[in-house]
Amino acid sequence: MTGSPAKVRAAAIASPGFRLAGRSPIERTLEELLRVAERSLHAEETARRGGLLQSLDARAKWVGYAGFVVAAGLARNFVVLAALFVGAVALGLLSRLRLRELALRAWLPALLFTALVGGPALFLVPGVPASGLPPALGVSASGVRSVGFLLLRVETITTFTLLLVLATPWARLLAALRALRVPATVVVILGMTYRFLFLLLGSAHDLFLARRSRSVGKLPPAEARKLFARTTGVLLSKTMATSQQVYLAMVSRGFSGEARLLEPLAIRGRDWVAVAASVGLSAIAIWAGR
Amino acid sequence: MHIPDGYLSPSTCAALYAAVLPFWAASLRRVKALLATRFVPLVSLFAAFSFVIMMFNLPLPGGTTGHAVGIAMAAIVLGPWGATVAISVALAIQALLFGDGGILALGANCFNMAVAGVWTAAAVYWLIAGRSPIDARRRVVAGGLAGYAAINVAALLTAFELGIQPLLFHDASGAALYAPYPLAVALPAMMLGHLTFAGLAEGLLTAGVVRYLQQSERSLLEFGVSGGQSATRVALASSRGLWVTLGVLLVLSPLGLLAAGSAWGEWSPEELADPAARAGIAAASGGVALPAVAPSGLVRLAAVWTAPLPDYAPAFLRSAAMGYLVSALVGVGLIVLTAVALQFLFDRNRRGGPTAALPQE
Repeated sequence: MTGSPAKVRAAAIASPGFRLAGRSPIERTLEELLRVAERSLHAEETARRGGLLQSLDARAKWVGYAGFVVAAGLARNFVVLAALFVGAVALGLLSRLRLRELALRAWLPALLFTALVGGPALFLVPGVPASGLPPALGVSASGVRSVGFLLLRVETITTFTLLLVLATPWARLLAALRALRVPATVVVILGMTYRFLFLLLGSAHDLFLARRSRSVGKLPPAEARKLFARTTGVLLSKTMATSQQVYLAMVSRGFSGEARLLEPLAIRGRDWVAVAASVGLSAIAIWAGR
Repeated sequence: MHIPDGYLSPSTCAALYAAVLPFWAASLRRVKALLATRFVPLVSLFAAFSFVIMMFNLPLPGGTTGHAVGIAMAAIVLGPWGATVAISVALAIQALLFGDGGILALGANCFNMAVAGVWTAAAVYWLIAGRSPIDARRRVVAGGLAGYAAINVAALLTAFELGIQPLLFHDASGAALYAPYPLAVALPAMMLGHLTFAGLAEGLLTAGVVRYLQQSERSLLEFGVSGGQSATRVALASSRGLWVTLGVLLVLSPLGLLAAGSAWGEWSPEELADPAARAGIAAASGGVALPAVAPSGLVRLAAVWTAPLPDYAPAFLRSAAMGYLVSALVGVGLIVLTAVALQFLFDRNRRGGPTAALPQE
């Protein structure tokens, strides 16, 4: 495995050899930490595939994303929402993203969460009984429409967000934020946070794994809570110490407090076409979805 | 707690972006001034730390687990200004990279957690901890309560934002276009989980970390790194009694329901036209007869402005007592925000440069 230290670190803690099957709080935490690292690695891999969206400038993608998401947010028409969703899936396929990836990362989590949160609305929203369903169920037509809107809207927006993230390297995604007038300081902070996220994920993982490997059986809950508090405290101490070291390293390299960014992005003809197409389609969707 | 995209209307999202932007701008400016060149690495590392601890599954009494957000921890260690930036960055990365919380809804999530949650945590911690010694047990309790209060204030705002969606945004058939539950459902559904599990997780973890810091890293408790010497902290600590009184008065505000009729001199044109109300007004005015009709000037001017929360009874709340309470919260919140904004402007004009009273490592 080659790449930046952050990526190597993420790959190391995400490797299958570290996967644990237990379900104690410590093990659940270890699994979550691994999942974060795995997702980041996966996004770096998909962003390198040679598909449609990967070939576009990140600024063009931000503009297109904003247009489509606002259109999906404003739509009051099922057909328009469904068309936007189908369009998002088509864009994903043209960008060499697999349906399984979209399903696992976007559709299934959004479906489960929305079903859990919005499902009871089927029965709680008052109105005439939904046609085609036994009246005894107590499902109202308004309830079905409400949950339908919510589900389709959430799925559509989540898919567009995933397309943006999976088809764009994080560094370029951030660099493009400058074009949206986000202050350079904020962009630098986001970039540094992402970079050091892996360091702290690794530290947290090591701390929990070290404790787990020295434990026999399950810790009593009170002791486990103390362990989490201590681990968080240690991680906090490490964070503060690392920030001081990073700061000194930055100063030694000439950092004077001014955040500067390399902006290697180059907008080309196809990017302008993409911007025009996405803005045009979004405008049509907003108009049609009123 | 992290509102995904699709649950709030774009206009609600835009309004909450507009609400959070001044806090972002003020926090960035303030933290830059206080920390100078140390600002970028410190906030970045702390944001990464906040992100990581959001992954922790804290064991709770009863055998379940819960996630902490780290709002109060950030407020205690970094101070509220730095914590606002750090938590916002952590939320932005969660939304952008992992789809946890929406991008359209990022303003709402930041407003709820990084602004309201952080400032609540800071206020509760300072009010309870006061000037107690660094190793006082009271600080552990203060940390725990700060975490508990912060997460519940953030949850209350989240529930409120979700609960007003079906009232404001529905199609011709009455079907909700965004979050489908009214306040009567959203408030209890949201608060039940946060008053119990989520609040407990945040409170226990914060208290535990404060205890750890007392034993191992006392310096981090001595100063909120980015706001330890701020005028806000001093003002909050010195006016603790005032804040406690204000809290009690807020809780007691529904007592206003016990009062019948209008306050003397606060009559509306409708009351002046109503025979029963006229009799009450005349009795309260020592029997002096009222004019036969409401004065034309009063009628004209009364129509100039329609209050958003008339008679302390928001239209979307069925409970009159809850209406009083929400009105009181909104009113106090607006006053405090105005005072903070004025203080910020005043401080900025008065301040010559970055403070030199920061802990030096």
